[in-house]
Amino acid sequence: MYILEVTRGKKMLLTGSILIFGFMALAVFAPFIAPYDPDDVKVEKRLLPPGEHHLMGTDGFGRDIFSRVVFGTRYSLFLALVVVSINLLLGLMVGSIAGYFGGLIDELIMRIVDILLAFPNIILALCIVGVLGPSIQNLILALVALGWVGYTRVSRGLVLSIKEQGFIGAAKALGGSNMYIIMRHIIPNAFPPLLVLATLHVSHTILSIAALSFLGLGVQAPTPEWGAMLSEGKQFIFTHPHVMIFPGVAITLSVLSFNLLGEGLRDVLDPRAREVLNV
Amino acid sequence: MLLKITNLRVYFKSADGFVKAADGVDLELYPGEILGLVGETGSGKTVLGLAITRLLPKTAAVSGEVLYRGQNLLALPEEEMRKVRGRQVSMIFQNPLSSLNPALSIGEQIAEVLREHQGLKRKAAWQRAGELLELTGIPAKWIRSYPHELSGGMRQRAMIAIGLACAPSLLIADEPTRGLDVTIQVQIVELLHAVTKGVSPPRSMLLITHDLGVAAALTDRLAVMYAGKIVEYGRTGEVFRNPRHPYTRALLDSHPSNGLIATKGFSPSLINLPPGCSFHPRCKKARKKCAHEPPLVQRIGMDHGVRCFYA
Amino acid sequence: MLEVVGIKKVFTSGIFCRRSIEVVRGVSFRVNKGQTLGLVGESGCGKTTVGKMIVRLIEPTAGRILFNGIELTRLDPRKLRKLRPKIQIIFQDPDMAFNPRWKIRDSLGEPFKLNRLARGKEIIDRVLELIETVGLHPEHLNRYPFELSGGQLQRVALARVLALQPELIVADEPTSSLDVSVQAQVLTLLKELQRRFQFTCVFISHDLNVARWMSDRIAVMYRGKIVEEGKTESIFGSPRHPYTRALLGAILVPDPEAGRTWRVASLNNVSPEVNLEKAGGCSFQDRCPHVEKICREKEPPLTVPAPDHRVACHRFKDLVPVQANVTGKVCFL
Repeated sequence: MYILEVTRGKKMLLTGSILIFGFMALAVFAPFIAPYDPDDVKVEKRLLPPGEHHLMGTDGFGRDIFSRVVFGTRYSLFLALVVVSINLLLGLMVGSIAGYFGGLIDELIMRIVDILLAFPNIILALCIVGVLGPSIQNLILALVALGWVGYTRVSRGLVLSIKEQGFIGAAKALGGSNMYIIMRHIIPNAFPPLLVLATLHVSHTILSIAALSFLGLGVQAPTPEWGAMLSEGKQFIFTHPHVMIFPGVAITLSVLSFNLLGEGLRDVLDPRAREVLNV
Repeated sequence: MLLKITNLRVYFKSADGFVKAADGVDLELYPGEILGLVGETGSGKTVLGLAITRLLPKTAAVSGEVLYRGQNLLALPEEEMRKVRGRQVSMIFQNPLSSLNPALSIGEQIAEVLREHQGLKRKAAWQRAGELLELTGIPAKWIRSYPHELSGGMRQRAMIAIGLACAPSLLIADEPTRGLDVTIQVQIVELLHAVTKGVSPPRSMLLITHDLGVAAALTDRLAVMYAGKIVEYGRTGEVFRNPRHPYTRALLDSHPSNGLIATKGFSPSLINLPPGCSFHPRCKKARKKCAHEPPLVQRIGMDHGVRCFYA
Repeated sequence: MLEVVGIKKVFTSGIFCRRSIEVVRGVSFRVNKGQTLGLVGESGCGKTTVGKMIVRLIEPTAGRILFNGIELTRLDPRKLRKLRPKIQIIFQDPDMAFNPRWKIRDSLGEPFKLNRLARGKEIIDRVLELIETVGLHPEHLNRYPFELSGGQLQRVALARVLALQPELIVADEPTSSLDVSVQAQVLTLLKELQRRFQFTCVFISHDLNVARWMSDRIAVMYRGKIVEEGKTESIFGSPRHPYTRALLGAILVPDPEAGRTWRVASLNNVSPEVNLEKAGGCSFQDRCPHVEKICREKEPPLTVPAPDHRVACHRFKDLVPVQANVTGKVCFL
């Protein structure tokens, strides 16, 4: 039973990793892969259908959609990874402190977290970007403002259960300081389950970024970000659907690949999987 | 004969090779008898209990014969087996906290079994559940309590009540006293005695335990298991008075009442068993022969057998 | 030398509506250098909390703990950190005592690194020496905790503690999760190490039968208090408190001819919801077969029934003297 789960996990992990690796390669080698300059406007080549010269056709300004999708990987993926990493690290630090020390510190932090969790995510993000003005920095800020809270919650819970295990008491008795115990014992053990959560969150964040950009509050045109491209293409949805379809497919595929990776990681990192050999 | 196990093998496949949890086990259990299966963690004794009730994971490869009243349980279709479980043979698991459903009250859990297996109506099942709780020493007014509200001893009682729900002819109790305080252990031993020897006709029980004190207090006959094999069996008094296998001897000596005398070495991994007799690397009496020839069971008296060349 | 004077521990929970439970209700004892005190009682009696207070993993609410005459309970953090390596603890569950993501070699090296006792190559040598001291092989060093058995892990736990050359070891039910034959190995090792390194030991156990092999003196705890304390021989030879007698009677001897004494030894059953703090009187009253009026009214003080023996019971004089013989068989109650 467990063995089956592991191989299933491994398959998902493999598929997800290959896809993500592909996207990463696209992002890194974008200038060599893209046949055209993504910002090169050629009015005479407007709205060409997918064909021999333009693999995915051209958009309303005559720009090559394939090249724009390739360069878009840099924005969508990179931004999502940055946002999730900040959230993860911030949440893990704050959650570990709350869980480890407990008492008043814990109470204080968790009440703040509770208040923040009461805000509707995307609406607060809209407000932040709306007030501060649309830019990449403000987009990151908007997504971090509430994003870390979930990780704080989860990591506090993890820390509370890790803290009760004997090796924490042993480390304390052996002379470890609080900081040492948090950094060397607690965080390394709380990290793997959080990593699964974070991977699943990357896809969520890709969607949030695309949504905000679609609404004109995220990455601004003419930058080739997938959400922004969707937004630009929406006027042609009935006449020239290819303008929207290809960035849409890119978003779906990237979301799928991170979900696969996350689910695969979850199955593989599951402690039960390790016990297969100890019947 | 109520239960006759012949040449039972249970193997698990793992990355490093086959885990031979039970390797040619023969056992006999007579009606009304309590048979103790004694061995350490990892000796395969729990797997044996699971094999009889066919509750092993699907990855286990099982061969041999488990005859219950002349019927081979291993060959039974799953439908039929479900009828045997609970009604004929029921199992009391070792960790009541994880074996009981935390979301249901103990009353509901007993009543559920009764409705499922005996087709009792809701009200009748509930009333019978109350009776069973009283029988196992839990006040009937606690019928609505949840597992986490009970102490360890009370949880174990509730497990026994569930096991008894359909009045099975054979109880399999897997380490029923593990992790309990000594005073509670005695109470559970008393209870197990009452629900087997104390009913008429007496109920049979296969008692799986590592505690020789518990085995001495309850069992009629004893089988000692080491590394997936039965190394000695016999009447309990005979085995305790006159242990013939060096491992049985070592197990008795290590008991705190007998002076905590330690045996060197560790139990072997079930994947990499030593050649010859599995116990030879730890055995004081071992000679050359033990290292490459696996000993067979020798009968050394009335219903007393030992798997050792030099017994 | 360890001296514990009237320690108490009250656990409180909740910030707004506080609830408090007094887990340890004034415990005093002393252990002489190089000796072992067995602290025996059922789960929930507070024995583990006492152990954790001695190694300062838990702050006592009241009372004093003296170690070689130094009062640990009032020491400033800097001096405490210096003293800490000398007072060590071994936990009940060896599977949890090691960081699951570290190899055994890293866990064994940890005390050296933390206390700057050795570095680099020297750590490796010391770790190798330790692993052999506790009867394991150097190849075990490259394993992860989940690859070792409970008994092997408990040996590693002993090794890790020995790294600091402690003067006091609190062993909190070190073998309660192990099989009997493995228990014998680990306890034999612990005794052997104690003889070799001369540390003082507080041996916590729920099993009197095990504690007697390890201890020079035994203290029996019930609901946060010591109800009887004395030399091991006198606890076994002439147990005074009904609870101690019940514990002795609960020992299941591996001898089918022991006459099944267990059937008479059981106590009155106790329902967990009884609130004793309100009840007053002796904390054992609801389970005691010898309970009388005075037991319900007045809490029994610790009295001295014989030289070097203490018992907290109003009625110990009225109870029939009993004797437990060498094999642990007892017949009374």
